[in-house]
Amino acid sequence: MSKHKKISPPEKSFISEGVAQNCRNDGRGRLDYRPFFIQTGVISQANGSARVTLACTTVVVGVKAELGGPTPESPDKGIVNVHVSRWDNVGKEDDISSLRYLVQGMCSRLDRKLLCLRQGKNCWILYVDVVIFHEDGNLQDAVSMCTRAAIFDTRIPRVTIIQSQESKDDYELELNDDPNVALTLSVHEFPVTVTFTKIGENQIVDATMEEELCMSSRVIVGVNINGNICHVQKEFGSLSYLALQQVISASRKLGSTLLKQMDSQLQNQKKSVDVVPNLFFN
Amino acid sequence: MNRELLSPEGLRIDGRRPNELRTIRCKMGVLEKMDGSAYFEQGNTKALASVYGPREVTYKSKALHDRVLINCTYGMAPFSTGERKVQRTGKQDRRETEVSLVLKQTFESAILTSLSPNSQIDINIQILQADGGTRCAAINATTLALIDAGIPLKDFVVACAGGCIDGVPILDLNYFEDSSGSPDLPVALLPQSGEVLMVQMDSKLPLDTFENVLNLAIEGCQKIYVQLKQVVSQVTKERVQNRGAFIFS
Repeated sequence: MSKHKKISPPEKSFISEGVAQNCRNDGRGRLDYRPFFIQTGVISQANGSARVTLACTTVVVGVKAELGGPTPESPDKGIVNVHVSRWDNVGKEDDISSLRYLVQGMCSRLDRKLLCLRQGKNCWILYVDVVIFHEDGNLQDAVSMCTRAAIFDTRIPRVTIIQSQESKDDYELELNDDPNVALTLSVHEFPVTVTFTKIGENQIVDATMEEELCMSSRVIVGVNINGNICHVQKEFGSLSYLALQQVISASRKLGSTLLKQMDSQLQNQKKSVDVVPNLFFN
Repeated sequence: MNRELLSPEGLRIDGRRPNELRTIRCKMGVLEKMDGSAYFEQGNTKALASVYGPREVTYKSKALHDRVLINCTYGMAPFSTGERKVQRTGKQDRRETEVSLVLKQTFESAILTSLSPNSQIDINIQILQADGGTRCAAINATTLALIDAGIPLKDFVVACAGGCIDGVPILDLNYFEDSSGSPDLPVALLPQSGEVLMVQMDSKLPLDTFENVLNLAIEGCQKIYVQLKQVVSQVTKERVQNRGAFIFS
């Protein structure tokens, strides 16, 4: 397991010189993404699921909806509970907790009022489970794309509240299993992240595993389709204010390209519903 | 209640005959960074196994001087079951710990442990979807992963579960049949010698019924062995040909 991989100084300088000349190890420019593929509906018993492969990085997100009670602070909103883990539960815990913070931040963009059934009494609790199968750099963007796709795929059954005739407090919740009338959550405003990794004096996007070992700082910017900045997370290292501004303006363009590509892949998914996609058989 | 499980024509709820296995699909070498990995599907039960080793022992005090140390971790993904499974990162619940131990003991008898003393083999199994027969699917997936990693084994380890409805022995229970009170008898064996490595049961059965169910489960294991052998020989053929050697068959 190459979780605690080390990189030699000559290799490090080769990578940073390549980045400075806008030619990375795999031939990409500094602001080029690797190809990614999205598949939705990969877990049949989840309300929504998606798998994203960004080169070799593979992430699967499953969304399950269960009935529960809302928190006393927001009685008119549902709850979104995020859990991130590696599929074999082995490896560094710090990446996991920062990913969890990232996904939780993104999921706070969802309109949780849609998840409320009876104010103060019943609501839907969405469990968003992110499972990382394979790491090959840039987990953050893969995880954010996968979460967005899984939420796009989520179908929550419609609930009718039947008031009991004897007492006003007694009621029954009837779930409608028909997928055509199921509640869907709009991902139009949902952001996607663009992760900038600083190597030497330059910023690159979509770092590979080796490039991540040479980085001095990282900024994760969440952008949505309107070009609004939804989330900024800076991890270790230091960045000049000018560099930060450049990063944020670059992220809007890159983010909108990513979102367009994502949306076209998601629309194509919708058409081919007959073949049930499988996690490992393509 | 048992009438629903077995129809008057002798068909089970999913249309299978009592001695019929569910469809099996498997793939070896699914995770690139692992020494060995395999994905095994039996009906709706899906298991993913990965093997890392033989490698240096992580805790020197646990090293065994004459054989390899086997670490086995069995886990279930939070979305694997009908109701979401609460998972605390890094910790296993009681059932997972028990199954991990059973799997470790099973594979200690199948792997040629004396060939790699002072080393360790890490086996990790995740159930991605649970629909009955999860520990059997885990064992079958692990066998394929060990073969993919090139770890010397005495033989394939194949596992299958048997049960009983209304006195009729049935093979390969799904979740519904398992939870409706049928006894669950998972069996693991080395198919060529017929040696049984694991037998477990958690309910009451009269002795002759038990023998019938056990024999049926062993028959099921042999059927699975035929399928696994086919997959392995196909994969081996491809790999040998990719290296430039040709097999004349």
